Amino acid sequence: MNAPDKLYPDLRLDGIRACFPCFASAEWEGVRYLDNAATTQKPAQVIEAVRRSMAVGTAPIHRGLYPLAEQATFDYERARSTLASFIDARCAKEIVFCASATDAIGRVATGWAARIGAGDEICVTRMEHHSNLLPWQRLCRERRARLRFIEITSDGRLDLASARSCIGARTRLVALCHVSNVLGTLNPVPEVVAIAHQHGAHVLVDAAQSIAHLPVDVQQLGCDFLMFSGHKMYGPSGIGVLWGRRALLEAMEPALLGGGIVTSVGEHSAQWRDAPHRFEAGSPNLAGAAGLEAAARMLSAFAPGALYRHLGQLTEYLLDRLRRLAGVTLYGPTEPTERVGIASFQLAGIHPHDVAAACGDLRVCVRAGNHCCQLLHERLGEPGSVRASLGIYSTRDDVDALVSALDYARGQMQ
Amino acid sequence: MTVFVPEARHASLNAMLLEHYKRPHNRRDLPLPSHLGEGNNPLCGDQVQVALVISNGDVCDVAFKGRGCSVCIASASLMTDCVRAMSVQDARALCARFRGWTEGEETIWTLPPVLEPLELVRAHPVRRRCVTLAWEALADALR
Repeated sequence: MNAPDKLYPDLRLDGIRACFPCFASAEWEGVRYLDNAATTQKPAQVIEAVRRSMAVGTAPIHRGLYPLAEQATFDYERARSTLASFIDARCAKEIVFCASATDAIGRVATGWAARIGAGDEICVTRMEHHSNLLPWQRLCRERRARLRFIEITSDGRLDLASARSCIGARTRLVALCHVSNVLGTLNPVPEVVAIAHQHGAHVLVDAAQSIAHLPVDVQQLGCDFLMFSGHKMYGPSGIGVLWGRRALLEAMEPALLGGGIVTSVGEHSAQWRDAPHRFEAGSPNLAGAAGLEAAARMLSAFAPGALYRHLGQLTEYLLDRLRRLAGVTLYGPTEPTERVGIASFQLAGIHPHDVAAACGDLRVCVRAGNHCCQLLHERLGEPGSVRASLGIYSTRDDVDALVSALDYARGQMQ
Repeated sequence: MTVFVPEARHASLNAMLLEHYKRPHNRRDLPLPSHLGEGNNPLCGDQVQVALVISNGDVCDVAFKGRGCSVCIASASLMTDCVRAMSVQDARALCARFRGWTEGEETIWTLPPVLEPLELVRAHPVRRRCVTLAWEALADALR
């Protein structure tokens, strides 16, 4: 996927902003969008892929016996193959299209539940988003299993010593984020996988926050399940990917039952199709898959690691500017190499809501609250924080605008 | 329900809200409260405690304490101005109507003039919970 892409023949990082209509629109002229950990803007190529799918690519896939349906099926399955290459899956059959990373985690929790029993253990980390916590809480409650927490260090890194003491013979699953949506911490997934596999446990990686910034390679990570959302990687919302090792997917029950997932149906039972089809009941999101494919092709058009380096440099600049501001308390690792694209912080004496609202007055878009990480914020000792998060189109000017907006917030509120 | 607030009015209401945030009314301890109530928003950690002195069916004194954003604190301050000297019955009715109003259900009810700065919340529905927290604490105290 690293050869020049005909969708993106002249793509350069320094010109990427021009691909995103939001920034050229009259409505949002001058907007400084720093809420990319929540969702990202969409480039023209993704918008066009969605439009094209709706305009000339609509037909019932896998079933229609006419050319329009065959073309739609071809396009959908090509999108699956593109996504497989994008994360280095062994084959396209390991890619399940679903609605989002949240949906994908729920499907594993539901479809995989049969193997969890009383006394078994699931390990999550203290920094998980609620979407990678609540399904395991419920599963453990229902199965009388035990939920354990891998702790974080005082500077917001995953505590590997805690991982070693949590993960043991009873562990069936370790569920962790690749990158924290609050701290920006890049977790040592291969190390955690090594510990888990040593004890025969499987590892699920929530890659929602890393997929747009890092080369995510499931072989290199060594995990067993991985998921991400389209809308956080410049693709459409309502589409995401669940990747699982083929043998695991084949052993997993579908969570959603409906058309297209069976080989035969009797009065009281049915035979499931092979993965991924057994997990895609109902008519799929064709336009979403087309848009997600266009987004993956955009990200693949850059040299390997180029995005990570670009984001890394900008993250360093962001952290540096914030550190120099009086009254800012930053969370997360101090080493820029241990974090990606996200800075959460407090501005002394001003409630995060007020900081974000004041920034909004100047069209600087940041997030305030607990970012769906209540347990992590309890650990940080504050109920909420302000979060600035970078994207492919972010610039030093955006960071400078944030710093000015924080000065303005202080002026307004104090 | 999102309502449009003209820019000049927006600025003046916002200034009033900020004034109540920076110098809130009745943010103090009440030495001998007869009724206490609390509102919590675990999503942002905001908390408001309301203390009342109720005598002969009237709210004779009211005070609040707590932590919250500017909208939350300003709303608490305005609430205390509004319910002082009100009968318990009227205060309960006000709580219910105010809640309905923030949720867009009370379309014909107009805010008591003292609460006018809170009109802004209807232009920013995401901050609805910030504005209602003190009122939840008041309703809790009146329960």
